[in-house]
Amino acid sequence: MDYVGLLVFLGVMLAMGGLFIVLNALLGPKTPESMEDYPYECGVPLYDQNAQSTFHQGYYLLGLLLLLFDIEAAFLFPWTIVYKHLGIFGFVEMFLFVVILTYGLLYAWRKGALNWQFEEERF
Amino acid sequence: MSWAKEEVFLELKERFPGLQVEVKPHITSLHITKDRLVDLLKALKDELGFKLFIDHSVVDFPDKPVRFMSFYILYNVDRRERVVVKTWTDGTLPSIERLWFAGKWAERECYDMFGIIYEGHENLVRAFLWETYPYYPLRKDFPLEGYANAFLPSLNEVLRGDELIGTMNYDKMHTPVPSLEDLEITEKRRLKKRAQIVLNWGPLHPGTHGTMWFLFDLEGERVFQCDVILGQLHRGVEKLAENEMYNQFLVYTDRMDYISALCSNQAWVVAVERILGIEDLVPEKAKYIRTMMSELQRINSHLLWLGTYALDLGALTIFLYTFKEREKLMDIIEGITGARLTIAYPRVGGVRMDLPEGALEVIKAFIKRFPKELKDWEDILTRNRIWLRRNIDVGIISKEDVYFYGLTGPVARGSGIPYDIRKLEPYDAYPYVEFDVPVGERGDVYDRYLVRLEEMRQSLRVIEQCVKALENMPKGAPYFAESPDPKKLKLSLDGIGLKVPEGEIYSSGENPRGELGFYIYSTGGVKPYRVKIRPGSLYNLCIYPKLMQDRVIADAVTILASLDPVVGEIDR
Amino acid sequence: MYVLLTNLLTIVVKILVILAIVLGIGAYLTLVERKVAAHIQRRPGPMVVGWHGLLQPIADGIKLITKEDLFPRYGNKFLYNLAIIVALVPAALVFALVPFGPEFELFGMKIKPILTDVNVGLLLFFAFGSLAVYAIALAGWASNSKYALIGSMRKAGIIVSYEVVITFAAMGPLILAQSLSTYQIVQNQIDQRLWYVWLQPIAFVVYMFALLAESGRIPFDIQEAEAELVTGFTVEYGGMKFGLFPLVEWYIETLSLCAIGVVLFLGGWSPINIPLVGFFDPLFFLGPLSPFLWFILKVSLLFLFVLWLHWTLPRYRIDQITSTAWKVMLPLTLINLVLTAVFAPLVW
Repeated sequence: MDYVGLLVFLGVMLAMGGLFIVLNALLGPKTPESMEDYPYECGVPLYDQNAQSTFHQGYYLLGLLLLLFDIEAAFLFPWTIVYKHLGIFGFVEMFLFVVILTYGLLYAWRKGALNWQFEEERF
Repeated sequence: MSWAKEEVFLELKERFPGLQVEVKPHITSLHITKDRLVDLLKALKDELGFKLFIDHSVVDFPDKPVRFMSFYILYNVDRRERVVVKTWTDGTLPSIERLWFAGKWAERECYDMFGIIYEGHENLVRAFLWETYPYYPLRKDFPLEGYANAFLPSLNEVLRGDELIGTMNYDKMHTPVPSLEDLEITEKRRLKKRAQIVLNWGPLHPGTHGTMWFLFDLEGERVFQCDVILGQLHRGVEKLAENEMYNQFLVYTDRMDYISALCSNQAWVVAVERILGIEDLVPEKAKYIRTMMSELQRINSHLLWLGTYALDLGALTIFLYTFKEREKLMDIIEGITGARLTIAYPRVGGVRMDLPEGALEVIKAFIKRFPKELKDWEDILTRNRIWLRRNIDVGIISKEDVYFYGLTGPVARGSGIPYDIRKLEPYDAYPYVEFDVPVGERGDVYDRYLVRLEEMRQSLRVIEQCVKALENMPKGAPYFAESPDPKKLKLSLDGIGLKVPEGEIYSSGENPRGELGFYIYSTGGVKPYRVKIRPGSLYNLCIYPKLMQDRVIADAVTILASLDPVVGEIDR
Repeated sequence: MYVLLTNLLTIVVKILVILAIVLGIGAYLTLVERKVAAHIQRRPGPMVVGWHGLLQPIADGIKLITKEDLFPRYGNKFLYNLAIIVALVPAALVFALVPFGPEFELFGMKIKPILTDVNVGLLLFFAFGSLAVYAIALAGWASNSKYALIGSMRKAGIIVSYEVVITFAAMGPLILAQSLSTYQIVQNQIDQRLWYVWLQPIAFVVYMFALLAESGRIPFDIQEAEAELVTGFTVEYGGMKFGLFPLVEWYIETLSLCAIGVVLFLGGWSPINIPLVGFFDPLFFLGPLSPFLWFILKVSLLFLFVLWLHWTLPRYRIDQITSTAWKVMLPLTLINLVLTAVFAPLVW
């Protein structure tokens, strides 16, 4: 029963999103011009027609670290809730866990994974 | 004056048999044949210390057997001397891009405007016009109005057909404009893609401060290589100069660097006065007024720079603050000259009119309040950690780079080279006033920022001294020069009939964006034969592709704004 | 049957209230922002449409919905439109988890002013928060514009860094509260007579940083960065489709993050707290309305703080943002977590 509200709300918002999508098509003027859908690149012809090609990004390793840390966070969430009942045992457990986590972070730091990744190779 | 003496070149004369040294009051030229040109320039650069590249262009003489006279202006920073190297050619020249990178851009311009082919140039493309344009517009045989051979009716003409009557019925044939295909050819010629995607950055982009078209070859967000396509604002000012009288051309200098019109006016007026030999006849009052006005303009220009620079880095509010102060300055300038943007206030021989009543009081009030405002902005920015991280160690320009790329103005001073025309070759009232030339240490973006801020304070000092001097002058003091011999030299406010004797001169002024130089070649008469404008912005911009190597797009705005180019001056 | 109907009715009313907040207040926050920005910059801001520009958001809305519908050449239409839904829905759903005030009685019914009070409330909040990045990534990819692509990649970089930080920052208060339910967290703060910000200053500061980063506010607004990317991932969107992205990112998301921040650190709807002594309520004369007003007040103050930063600071560069997150923020939150675990028994 708790989630009914959320589900109803989800439905309402989906409808809302759909409305936003069609709103302009319904209310806006329709005056097609030959160049109006040309991708915006400061008003000059495109050098590359396609932008959906390979794109090097400098935080690939950070993405991997995010996965690790988010999973670890998922482990820690239940622990935070029941920590009161676990007592000293829970603290030691968590402490070790966080230490290992920190060690992992330090290792990544040392290896330079936290820096922005630029490949040094020249073309 | 700051031209090299003949004895400097004695040793060179022995090594280069054909070398002729010609010393005139306003210019020292070395004449050399084309085949020894590069050797001579190399010797001048490496041995005699003429390290700073100022300018290069050609003068077209269609009637002479050898058609083009090309000249290279160099500067010796240590001995404060300038020299011009000249050579004659029929259409080809050796490229000097290995000696000075700035020469590469100057050569592109000459290729574009005169059709000179440079042998050994790495990528000889047109600087301002599109690749498929068939003419060379600055040649003397190209008509001023161009060739109207493209059918370009206006929208009215398209919609209403031939029904347009009377004054609206214009000629439908116009000079050609580039089509999309032409532009595509231009951009493909400019840059060969070697990384992942090529991004057009500009011409219609808020970060470029004007209509500059950059091509970034990107690998991710890192700029792998970069080039610039200029000419979106090209108006052929140099061509116009050849067809206008000396005072008429004054208004075109307004429209070059439209943010510092008064400084450009001053540089032009001083250049003409020098070639006329009446620099000393200009009354002191006019000199002080000009100096004061151009310093006001310098603050005005730096304010615009500061505002847009902060805006580019995301500090949105500083922009409005600086524009508020700038508005006050504009009002002061408007009150004195009657115009806000394109001012044309100085005249050959003085200024257009006397200061109005109370002008000095308003200026005094401004310079009293301004340092407080400046400090406010510095509180927000100068020690701000984000600001420091965005600025420090970004876009470092070494001293060698300054010479190699022909940088001037605050960009050169930010790298620790005290190159300031106001000190090196003082004009107007600059010899009489005291001010310091701030220089940077590291040569990064942050240093340039500090240099410009300090320059505003120094400008205030100059203005203060000018105001004091002007207050002590009698009220009816003349503000326009009297001709010593009205029959020979006709000096008037409108400048009609102002004849300039045969000769040539290179004279420059310190603009807020760098050295603005005018090379005037006069064959006598009321119009110059050739005017080459040395735009500080263009040569300051030419280091940009190098600075952008391996930087990310976020730094593109930082570095570009720190070079502070104005497109009106780059394209002319 | 009767119970079910009344339950449904309350749900409908709550949804209507939240919708009003999301769309109405969200839209009016544009006016607030413009006014705040204007006064920071010594100018009056919108003054023409309505009294002091009060009708400005409506005028903007009408303008936006009557624009021509454009779709960029070479783009992917399905993803292009999907991005809008993915942007709007999770950002709005977060409001289902915000407790606006204490339980009250109306017509003999006990009503909690929160749409879904579940025992995993905060987990849901983080889940919805993570979804925001998909909208931007999709928008950037589908519009086939390089500016949009770069902008969306930058946003992904921010999320990659600050998702972890915000999770770990929120863990401190969770240990103290022993609950994941947003309603319960506030209730515990009232029971313990302590705003958690007093014990968790580091976590609060880190949370504020992450708030700015996740909602794309200066100094972290690099995915838009007008001067570099001409509004980044929204470049190819037009009309209301364009209007939706800033609305979601800058207003709805910021507002929801502020609200959750108030819940976690500033004691939700409780009045001013003096640590370990109790609460002091200058608004006592409003009776049962006072908690709601306190909640609104705190959220608005946080929101104004965000605006203040936005219109004052310059922006970071992407590599500086990620390195700050991993090298400064994350170690700080880890230390904070251990310290909290040590001192938590003192509070219980």
